[in-house]
Amino acid sequence: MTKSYNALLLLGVTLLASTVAGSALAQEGEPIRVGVAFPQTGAGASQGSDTALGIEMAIDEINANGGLLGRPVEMFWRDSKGTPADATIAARDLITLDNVDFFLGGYNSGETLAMSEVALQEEVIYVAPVGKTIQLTDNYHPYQFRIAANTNTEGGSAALILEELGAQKICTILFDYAYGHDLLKGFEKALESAGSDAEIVTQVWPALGVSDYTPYIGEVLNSDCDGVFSGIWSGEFLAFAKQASSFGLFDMGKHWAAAGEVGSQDIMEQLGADMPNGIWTNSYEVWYYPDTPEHNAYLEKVRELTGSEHPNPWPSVGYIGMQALAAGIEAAGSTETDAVIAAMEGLSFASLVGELTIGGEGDHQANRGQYWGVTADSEHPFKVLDEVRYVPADDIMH
Amino acid sequence: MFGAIQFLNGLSHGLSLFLVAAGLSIIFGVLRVLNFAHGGFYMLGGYVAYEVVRRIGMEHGLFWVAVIVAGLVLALVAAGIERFMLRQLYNRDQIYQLLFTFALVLLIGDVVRIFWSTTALSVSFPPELRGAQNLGFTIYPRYRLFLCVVGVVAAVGLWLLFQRTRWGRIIRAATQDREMLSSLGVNVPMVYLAVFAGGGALAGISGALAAPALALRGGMDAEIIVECFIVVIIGGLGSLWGAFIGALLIGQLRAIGITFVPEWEIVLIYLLMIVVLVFRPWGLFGKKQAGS
Repeated sequence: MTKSYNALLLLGVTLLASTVAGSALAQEGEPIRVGVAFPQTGAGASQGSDTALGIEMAIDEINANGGLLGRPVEMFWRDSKGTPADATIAARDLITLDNVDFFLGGYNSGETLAMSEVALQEEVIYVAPVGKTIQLTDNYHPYQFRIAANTNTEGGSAALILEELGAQKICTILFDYAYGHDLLKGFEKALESAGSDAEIVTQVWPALGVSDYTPYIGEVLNSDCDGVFSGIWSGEFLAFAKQASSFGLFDMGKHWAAAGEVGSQDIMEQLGADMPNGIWTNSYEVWYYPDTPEHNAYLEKVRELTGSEHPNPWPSVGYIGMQALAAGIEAAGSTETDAVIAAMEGLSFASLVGELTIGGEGDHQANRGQYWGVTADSEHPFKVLDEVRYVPADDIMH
Repeated sequence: MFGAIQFLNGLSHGLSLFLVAAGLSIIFGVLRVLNFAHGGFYMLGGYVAYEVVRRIGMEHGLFWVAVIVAGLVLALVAAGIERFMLRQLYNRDQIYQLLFTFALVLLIGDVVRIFWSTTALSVSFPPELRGAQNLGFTIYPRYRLFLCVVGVVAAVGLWLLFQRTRWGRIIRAATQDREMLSSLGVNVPMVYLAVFAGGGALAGISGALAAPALALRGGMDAEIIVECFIVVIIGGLGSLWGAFIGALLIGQLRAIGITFVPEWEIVLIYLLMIVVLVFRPWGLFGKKQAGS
């Protein structure tokens, strides 16, 4: 009798001990699951893969330093394929199949808005490291955070550049979809709040995906504008620049602000000698600026990972997004959704591009500025940005 | 102001468009197949030219080698497709031919993605046509002027081919009555093969010629095929003149639209298409078919 009682007791103690140990282990070692959804195929595949690489880099660094809240971070990656429909599927699979606690993703505006919608439905925190569309903030909900600069900042910084260059009459060449119209809003707002007397005299609206820009170029040639604001992004700029050059549009002495991250290293390499000299353009990041210890340490790692001496800015975009999320989790002291949201509101964190602050309730956007510079020849087979500067977002982002 | 530059822009766009639309229209006229993959042939022509230029360079005259190679490759590709695949479908319902050419669209799109990735690629202007030409009333890029000349020469050449040669007569006869042609001892399957290959070559050459003026990227096939469909709807399917006038109309309408109603430029083109479809569904130069 006593013997069997003792055996039962022993069994009970063992069971109890193992569950206690188990729960202790869970707190200590259970990884924090972070989902990542960028295009691995389709349009934006190379940019998406490089952005994910940056996130992976940040996570590896976190794990090498003992993890977050003492727990390792595990990354789950799904293909968003560049379309809103596939982005929705990817985000949902991350949450329901991979059980992620947080997710980052979205290359273009369509993907970004779609993922934000999933975040709202599933009540999981979503960090947008790339998407700039102001519509994300227009459709605000508490589960979304934007760490990228927004279209107000991009259009606004172009306006400040043209204003400083002394442009009085401005032509705009913007894509006829949400991004182009959003850029114009930011541009006009910044001109107004800067008290500028510059005015927009000619607007052309090429459809996204046209390959023949000559009629639009013709309109700008016929205009008496002395400044041009264009929003022909990345790869699309290739056809545009070649056609505009053949008309001599870049040699007419018009001040030029080209939004759409045309100054990005991948685009510079793609265009080579076709990239005109002397136009102002932006980039998320450039490998030759700034010369700070943080940036140099980052560059060293990216060079090692990508094998490229002149890395493109995409890894930095993912890297900063993950820095923001990690800072939020650290500040919350927990992975509880509500706690992390509360901790991220108003949070200042050290990022690759210096200290960033995330806006409070109703905003949830980091005050991320933009790098601008003027295109110039370099010792390499591609152009670089000269006179690079960081245009802060605080006065133009809202 | 709708100046000389905008007129020339419309003209060069229209004439480039004509080259592609002509092939589409002729193929339909003879084979009665609406070739969705025609835009794919055009895109492939551009990429083949890119590949040739990448290998042999751009020194004097070498770009034209790339254009000719693109034409030949696409003629071969089209001939192979007609001989071994499309030919099996002539006796089936037309929906099978449509599905088949649509499958080709997807296939060509994937081939381009696999071999040349999704980033936009660029071919430089051939050295002999770089820079701008002073025309007296305006300055205009040389390469675009050249594209205008090519369009006009192609239009005249095709017209002469159809009206003045034995081959042209046979092709015209094939559009009218293939049974009669066959009973007259003409090898009709051979005519089909030649027309499909010729249309493919025309698309390939157009793509190669477009490469320096535009950027190469996946999706350029869809853009051109939509424009070509609009051209042949307005001009009339199967009509060479229809394709010519339709292409010029689209070119000018686009330039006019961008100048005067920039926000409505695309709507303007579709409006013209709707008007034609309502009042002359067989197109400006097409033939009204019995029962339609």
